[in-house]
Amino acid sequence: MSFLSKPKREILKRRIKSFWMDFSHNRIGFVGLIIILGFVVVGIIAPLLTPFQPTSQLFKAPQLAAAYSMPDWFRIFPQYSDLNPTLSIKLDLKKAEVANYTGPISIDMDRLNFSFAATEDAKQTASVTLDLGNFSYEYSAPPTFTMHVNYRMYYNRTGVKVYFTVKNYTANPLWDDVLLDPTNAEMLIYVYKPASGPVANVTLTNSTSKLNIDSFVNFPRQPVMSSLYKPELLLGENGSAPIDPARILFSQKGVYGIKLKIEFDNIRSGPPDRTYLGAFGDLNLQTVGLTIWGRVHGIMGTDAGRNDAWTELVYGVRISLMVGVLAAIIATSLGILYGVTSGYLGGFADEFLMRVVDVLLCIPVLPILLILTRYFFANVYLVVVLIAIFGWQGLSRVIRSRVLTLKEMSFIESARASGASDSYLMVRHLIPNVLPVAMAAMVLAVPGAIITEAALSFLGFGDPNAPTWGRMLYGAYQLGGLPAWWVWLPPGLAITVICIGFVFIGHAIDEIVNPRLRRRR
Amino acid sequence: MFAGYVGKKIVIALVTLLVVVTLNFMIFRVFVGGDPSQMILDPRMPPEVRDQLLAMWGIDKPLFPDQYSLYLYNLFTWQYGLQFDQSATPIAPEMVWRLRNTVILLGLATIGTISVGIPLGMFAGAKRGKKTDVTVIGIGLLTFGVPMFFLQLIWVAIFCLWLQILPRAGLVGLGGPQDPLSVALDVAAHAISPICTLIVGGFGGWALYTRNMMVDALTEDFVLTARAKGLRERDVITKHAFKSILPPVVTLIALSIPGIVTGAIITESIFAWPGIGQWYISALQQQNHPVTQAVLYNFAVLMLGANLVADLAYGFLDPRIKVGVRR
Amino acid sequence: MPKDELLLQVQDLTVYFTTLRGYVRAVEDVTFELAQGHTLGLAGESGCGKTTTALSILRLLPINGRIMKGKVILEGNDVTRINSERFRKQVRWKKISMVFQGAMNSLHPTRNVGDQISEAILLHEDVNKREASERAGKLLDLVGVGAERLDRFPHELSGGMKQRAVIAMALACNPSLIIADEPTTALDVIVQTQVMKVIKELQAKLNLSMIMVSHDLSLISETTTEVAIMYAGRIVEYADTATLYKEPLHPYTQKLIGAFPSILGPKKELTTIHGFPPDLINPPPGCRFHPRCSYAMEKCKKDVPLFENVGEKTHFVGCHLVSQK
Repeated sequence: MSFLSKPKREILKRRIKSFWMDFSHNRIGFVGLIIILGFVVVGIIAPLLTPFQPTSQLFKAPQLAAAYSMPDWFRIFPQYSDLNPTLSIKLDLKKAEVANYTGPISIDMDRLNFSFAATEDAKQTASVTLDLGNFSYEYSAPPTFTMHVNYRMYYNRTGVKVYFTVKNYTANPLWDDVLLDPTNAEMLIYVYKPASGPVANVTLTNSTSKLNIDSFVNFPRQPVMSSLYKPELLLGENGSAPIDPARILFSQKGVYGIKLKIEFDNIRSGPPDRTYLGAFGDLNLQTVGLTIWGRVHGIMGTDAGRNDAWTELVYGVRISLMVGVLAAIIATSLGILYGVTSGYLGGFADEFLMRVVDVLLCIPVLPILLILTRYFFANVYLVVVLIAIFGWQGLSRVIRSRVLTLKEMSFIESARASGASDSYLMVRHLIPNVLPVAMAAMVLAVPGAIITEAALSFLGFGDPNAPTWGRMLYGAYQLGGLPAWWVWLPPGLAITVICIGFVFIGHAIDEIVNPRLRRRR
Repeated sequence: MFAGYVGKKIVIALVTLLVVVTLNFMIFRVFVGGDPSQMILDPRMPPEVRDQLLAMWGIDKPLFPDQYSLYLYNLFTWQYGLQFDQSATPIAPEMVWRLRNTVILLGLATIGTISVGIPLGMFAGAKRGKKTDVTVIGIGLLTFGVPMFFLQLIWVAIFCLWLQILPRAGLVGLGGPQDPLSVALDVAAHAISPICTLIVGGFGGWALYTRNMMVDALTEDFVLTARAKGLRERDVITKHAFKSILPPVVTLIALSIPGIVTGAIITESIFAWPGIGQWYISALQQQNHPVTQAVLYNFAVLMLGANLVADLAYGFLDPRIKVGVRR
Repeated sequence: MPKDELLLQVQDLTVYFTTLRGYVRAVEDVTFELAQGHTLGLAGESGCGKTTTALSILRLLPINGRIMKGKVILEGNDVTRINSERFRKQVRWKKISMVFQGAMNSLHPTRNVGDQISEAILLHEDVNKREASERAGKLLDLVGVGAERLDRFPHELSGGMKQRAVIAMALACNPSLIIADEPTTALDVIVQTQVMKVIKELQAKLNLSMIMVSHDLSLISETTTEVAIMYAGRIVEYADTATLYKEPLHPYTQKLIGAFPSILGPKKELTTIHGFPPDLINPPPGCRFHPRCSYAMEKCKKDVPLFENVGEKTHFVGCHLVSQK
């Protein structure tokens, strides 16, 4: 603080103190300040408020439930009490029972190893059935489920098929496998056919890469691994919308059992004289899991990307505050510089600079921002800069007219008479004197910047890697999330409240620093 | 004096137009892509058809001066050229249709907003400190905080999705009767949502602004004089206080026009209203550059035109107007 | 003065303003009379209640101001009692018109002068627009602005012209009473003299009854027949102009006159009144002037002095010192 002499520092201190006295007595301003402080606190402690992280450049947020699932606490309402949360059913393979096995297979349940080796020069098959135990499901039918299988397999001229059977024990105590014909499937799940009701033959497809087991005929350099399987949609009856098999599979409450059947067969390939002998498959199961995706999740449910909406909301505070404040600061600085320069220079330069402002004020800002973000920079920081570049013109006019009146005042005249340079006058006298007005304008510019950024994101032109509130609203508008009001209403309200906070503060500052308004009581 | 003022405004408008037009050309022809045809055209297209298309778009020639002059010629003859699609559809006919839709929507919404907001502000200013006044201040401040698109989402969710009393999107419904009256009614039903939301979201700002001006004006001596003359309070407020603030209110209209015009982008997208704003977004998404350019040009023309009209109206309403001096 | 000539009687007029801090006792127990053809000067420092008194006669107080008690009797009727619609139609401008403080601002900025004058005529008299406009032209001629300036806007006229146009407007409906509130304050000295000349000419020509509100004692002395001196919301002294200037009795009046230079009179030291006018939310008890009065006695701090006639003709004073004699 050496650039200010001691008495000047005292004056500054006193000025700030008296400003604070005025401000803290302004009810609206105080409310605004509390709102903004609340948001700042939320932004700072965001990691404490949620265990998750939003999607960013470095991180892809985890999927936590079905898209647009409801908040967990909705279950206190009777009509939603049946909705299932996300259930991850961990199946303990070590405790699996080998139900029966046939063919040339050796089983090592300690290491969960299943080894198939052809014993004769003929087409041979081997199979083993594992009983993976029970779990209970006490909700209405879930939106969807996935199967998670981690395995390693070394093989030569051998195919493997893994079948899942999920069956409702409560409805049908007897386990009579009605195996449907598995064709062209990598992983199949068989659903027990209840005494009455629909049958679902669920085909699970690998979400990442389709594995075609028949091609695993050559000895691979690396073991094959696979992870996530999703059910394929069933075509509805009479051409109605496709149904997720989960709706049928888990349509009844009760105890469900899971069985796993592994089938090996050897293949003869290459020249016709090749034998079936020597073919082997060595399957090592690591984990098997069933995830029934929830229709309720967390505090605010999930968005279109099945990520935690609450996390996005909480982290959105950071982006919104950053965008608003940064854009306002940059725009205000530009406005002060331009306005002071124009007003100070006066004459032809002033006239010219002001006509430039007139021209810039007539440029359609939002359409140009859309072009720029669409083709050049969809990065939130650059969006901030762009908003600032288009946001200083109005302020520069106000500042200029203040400078024009200041210039005529005696203290400037006397400073100039005592030989002060232009830059000294600007930095030491003009800028400090326009600062209070600029402060009010700056605070009032924040909501505009926040809303502009939100509008860009809302239209789908924002930074895809920034967790912004606008992006959450985009989901509601573009991705069919409108019925899921619990996902888009909070961010919309958050934008509204944060903007109103700034409007209140700006209104209060304006009232304090602007004598014309102060007169109005 | 007034002629000089008008001349100046017209010159500024023309300079702005030139800036926008040039920017428009530079962005799309120079910065975005050297050969915009590549992203649109089917690679399997026979080369002679392809060359023919390129020639039709005029992008086979050098940028300057051929492409630029063609572009300028197209804009100033309101032709805009051809779309970047397989059949190179001309832009002009669709533009006329969409421009009409946008002008109808924005015109009605703006008239509605003004005719709700300004009288309300006038009334609130006259009843300073009373309940109406406080409510108007509250609504006004709220207006600065609520994003229009959020309001519109809420509207759609309530009236189109939940209650299902209003159609959600488009200009007309499908499969209705085709006689002019039914079509007109159908269009009106589709226009209710966007227009109402624009009014609901917009009138508060106008009311607050008018209210502040009125409060100022009502402390002026000429208002006291008018009262002393024995004018009815209603006439004091409308014929004296309000008449004196009419010029700055007209300036507000001028200043709000950019927001109104470009706000069409969001409103039309949400309600799938086939105006130029919605076209702009879809053209941007499909990289249909000639359409983007044409719409941007029309945005600029609309804005400048409305601005000019407002400036002239100001000069007309305020006898004190001098070049460069506003009140 | 004979009763039948009485134009206006103000009796015990009391006006309070409601503020967040409490009542502002702006005017208390103000009593005076005005005869036909006379001009009363209301003088005093800024904030002493002169303008409030004037505004309450026309019932033009701001929203937070209220007439708490008292009567304003114009030509025998108490105008504070009649309903506001009748007051508006029958009293405002027709009986009482007013010339306001700011000459610059009491004309509407975007309407022309003739229009504003004829508006008043049209409002109160059954004439058509053309006749009203003709009369407005005559009025402008009368005050020396000239009928050719009818279609001028206020910003096209000089300050003096504007004030004369305002005076013309006040004359529009031939009112019984014109209240002029600081008619010359905002003008420079030369223009002030011109405007004063116009006022005096009109008084002579039209036999006007006026209330002249001003802090400028020289203006008051030149244009009035009676003067009331106000201090902190009360009239402290009331007499005909000559008497008051010659023998002021209230210490405040003495000081006030002493604080004004006299160009024609003998050269003497100007006196000043130390201290500030009191806060009217908590005015001092007793005589409101006692904290600043050099003759203050114990009695002055407790009792409000009676406002009584002490002279042969009319010379009312409210001061313990005077009533003791």
